[in-house]
Amino acid sequence: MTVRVLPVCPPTLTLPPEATVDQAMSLMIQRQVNHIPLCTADGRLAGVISSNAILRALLPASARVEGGVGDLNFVGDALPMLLDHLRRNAGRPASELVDASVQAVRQDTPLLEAANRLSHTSAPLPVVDERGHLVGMLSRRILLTHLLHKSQTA
Amino acid sequence: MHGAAHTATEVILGLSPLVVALTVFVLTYAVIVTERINRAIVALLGAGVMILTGVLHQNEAFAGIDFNTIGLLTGMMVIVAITQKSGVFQYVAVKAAKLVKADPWGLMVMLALVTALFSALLDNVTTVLLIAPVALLITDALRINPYPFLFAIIFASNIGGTATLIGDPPNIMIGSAVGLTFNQFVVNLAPVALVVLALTMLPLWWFWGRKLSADQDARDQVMAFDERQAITDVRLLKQALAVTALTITGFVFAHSLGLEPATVAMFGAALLLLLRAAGHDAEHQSEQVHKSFAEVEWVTIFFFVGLFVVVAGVEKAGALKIAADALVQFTGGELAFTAYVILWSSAIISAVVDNIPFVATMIPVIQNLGPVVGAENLNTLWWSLALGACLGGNGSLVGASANLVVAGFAERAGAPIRFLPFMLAAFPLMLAGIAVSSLYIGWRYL
Repeated sequence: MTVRVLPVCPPTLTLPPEATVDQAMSLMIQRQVNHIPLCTADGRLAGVISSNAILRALLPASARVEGGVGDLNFVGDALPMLLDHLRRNAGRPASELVDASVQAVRQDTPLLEAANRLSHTSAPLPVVDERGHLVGMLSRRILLTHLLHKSQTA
Repeated sequence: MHGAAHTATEVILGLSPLVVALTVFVLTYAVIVTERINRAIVALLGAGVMILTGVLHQNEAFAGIDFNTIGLLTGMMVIVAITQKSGVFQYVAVKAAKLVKADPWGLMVMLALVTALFSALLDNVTTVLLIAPVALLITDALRINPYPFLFAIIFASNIGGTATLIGDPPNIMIGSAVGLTFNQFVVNLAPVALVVLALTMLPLWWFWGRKLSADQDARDQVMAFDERQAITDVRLLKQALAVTALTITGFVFAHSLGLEPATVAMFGAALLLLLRAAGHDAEHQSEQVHKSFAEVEWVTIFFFVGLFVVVAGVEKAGALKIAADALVQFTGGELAFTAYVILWSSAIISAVVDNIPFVATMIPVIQNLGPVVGAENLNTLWWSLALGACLGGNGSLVGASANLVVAGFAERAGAPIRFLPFMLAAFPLMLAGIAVSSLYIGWRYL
């Protein structure tokens, strides 16, 4: 059994990769979502921008990278720095802040592997067909609903 | 199983031991330079081949490993691995920045001083690993280019490391092989290291410092940093500082007590591990000890082990005696000229290749010069080697591991340090430091 059998959430909310981070943020707030798939004009998936990826970009680089400063308590709130980073990131293309932890699954991915991938991230995963076009978003709830239904009918 | 008296050389296929040893040596160093295979693997393979081909007997190989160097490095690495968790490095860096009211040039001077001081007392790599992220954080808050600060940190770490026996691996090796004490290193090298550091800051001021400025609101933001919040564990801090102070006091008195630095460092490490373990159950203890040991840079340690054996092989085969004779031929055995040749050539070689294998090879070469320049004058040559090899590390990004650590971090943080632009500024600046060292050697020892 593969991801194809699942009733994935159709891609009603997408942005072109060249949309700005500013636009992505506004759309997330307005539609109350944390993840927006980026799709090219022909429907090909170019990654997912997430509120988490945007938030990370606002942190000082020295805290963001491996081997950096682990605990920022001593810095205080540093609001000017956060706002400065926000301004500098606003105009960047959304494609530059693609969340690398959100990897697409294919329609022919087995359910077990989909469950495995979902368990490693808090984000819904984009589902693509064999041409790389976005088919929909797969959340943990969709998968769990399907499994529950199966167990009750079995 | 093995005969301890087995020392007669029986090299495979009846080949000349000199040819076999030199081939293994050159191949080992050539592969290390390419950096295609991890250097610890290469050194251990080279060491194995030295024994398998019969150049060295296994007992001679063991005797060639300087366990004093290994013990000192390992002990200090354990102490630092535990100490860094207390947040003391962030505390000092932030405190230093606030002392100069977050003025950019003042910050650069303070970061250089702090880095040099920590590098003198701990290893350079750990120091920059902890100082560079804080420097980047502060320059980020000040909205200024971090590059000059990272540059200053690299220079200060190598200059500070020059000042003491434990500051830089070449000094550890020299001190251990020759029996020079912690105090002798401080008395002979710290003054010149201080002068070189001060003089290095002048061009940094001219190139960058005088043009740097930060907005008042950005400086206020740094002044609002609370360094006390950086201390994550007060109990750990007290234990770590007490043990570090005790260990350094131990180094100062080690010679008069008839102790080797390795004993002092290992005892300090064991003491700190004990303080951390006290009061915890067996499972927690073993987990904590395992974590502390895991942070030792085993690649460096095994690299040393392998290199010592490879160098013991070429030494036994007589190659280093030949190299020493060639050096004497070139310099005419004259002390001053020999010292300058060692100083400048070590600096230039250490700028482009790892100074650890270079110094490991040079130590027996210089020991062979005793009869020529007079045993009482050998120390002059040791100080020349130490100054050249340590300060030479500043000549390029690959000159010292600390440089690569800073460059790697800067790259990840999106402020990359490029090889060529760095070298164009760093190499002449390094040579200026060597010129100062030449004057110092000439004035003090010749």
